[in-house]
Amino acid sequence: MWVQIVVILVVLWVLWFVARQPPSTISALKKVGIVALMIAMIVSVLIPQVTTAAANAIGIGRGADLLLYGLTVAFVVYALTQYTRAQANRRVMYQLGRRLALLDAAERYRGRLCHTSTTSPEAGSSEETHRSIAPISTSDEREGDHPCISTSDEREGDHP
Amino acid sequence: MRSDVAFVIPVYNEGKVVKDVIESVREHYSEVVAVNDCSTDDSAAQIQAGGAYLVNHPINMGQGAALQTGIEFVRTLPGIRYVVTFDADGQHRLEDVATMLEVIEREGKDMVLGSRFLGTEAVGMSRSKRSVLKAAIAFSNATSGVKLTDTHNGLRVFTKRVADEINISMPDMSHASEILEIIRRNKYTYCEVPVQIIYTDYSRAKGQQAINAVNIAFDTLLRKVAR
Repeated sequence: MWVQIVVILVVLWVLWFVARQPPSTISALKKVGIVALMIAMIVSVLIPQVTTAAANAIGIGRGADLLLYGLTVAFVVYALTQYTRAQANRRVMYQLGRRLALLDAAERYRGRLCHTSTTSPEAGSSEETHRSIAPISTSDEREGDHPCISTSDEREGDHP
Repeated sequence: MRSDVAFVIPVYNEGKVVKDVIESVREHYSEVVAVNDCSTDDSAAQIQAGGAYLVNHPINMGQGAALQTGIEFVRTLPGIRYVVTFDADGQHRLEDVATMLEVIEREGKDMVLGSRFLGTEAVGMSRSKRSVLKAAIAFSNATSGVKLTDTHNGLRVFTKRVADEINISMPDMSHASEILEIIRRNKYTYCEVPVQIIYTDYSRAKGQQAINAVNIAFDTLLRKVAR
């Protein structure tokens, strides 16, 4: 019985740990996991006794059940990371949409707007107007002025 | 006529009523920003006819994003001290805004929130909507750490400082929960004021689907895990 409890705790911890990782880390792990899964499937098909033995060693009845649990965990992890990544993409897209909207509005009301920190209300030049729009930041916390749109989630190494 | 208060009105397909709403606001407040969330009707033209600042979203991004865009536009307006979020469909009353402004100036709070459950009975709220709302409020209070009697009220008044710092990024209607988390995270002072929401047939037909509460709950919980 305690083996099941330990397994459940470890699974929960893995889910929590995995959900916090940026995609660049997860995709490498995913590859490792998939490879491991493939090896396990081949082994279980050619030498069924191995998985049964492995399963029995940790208190699970059948080798197939062991594979099933592993697959379930892998699938849930995958689904959650995909969802998180989709949300990050959505956020970047919304930032772009907002910048377009604000640029368009600044153009329409040129001369009536000002930068929050400067006091000149007659800032009509395009440079002043551009600076009056808040810079895009894709992280939730403001990190200062970023003129370029970049995501903090995806790094250069994450190319499939 | 006050010009130190900016109204932010998110607009999606409210062409029938938005001009009247804007005009009634502009009888008392000159700075009105309406964010057209890629409406498919004539909302944009109606907004301009009403005399508000028009900000057009290039794609439909939801009410939370529209509020954020409007607030960021307000940051570029001179002389603003308070920001009011206001619905485009005529559900909010200007008398309540006046009360909330009086409270925020007198009490010096960062944010004043309207509440439908502080005594004044909501006009025409259906029983099912009330129970879903009560459940949503309980959930919100539990997850955000901020205790309110009405967590999903679109009528809010906050200071310029809050407007400069706020960053709404959660999809669509989850913004109500996100604002509460922002209040807690940035430690804003706040209080609630009883307000009356007017549920007409028009606005009732456009209300949120109750099932959307499930989406909001999921997003909120997931954000706690996968930040």
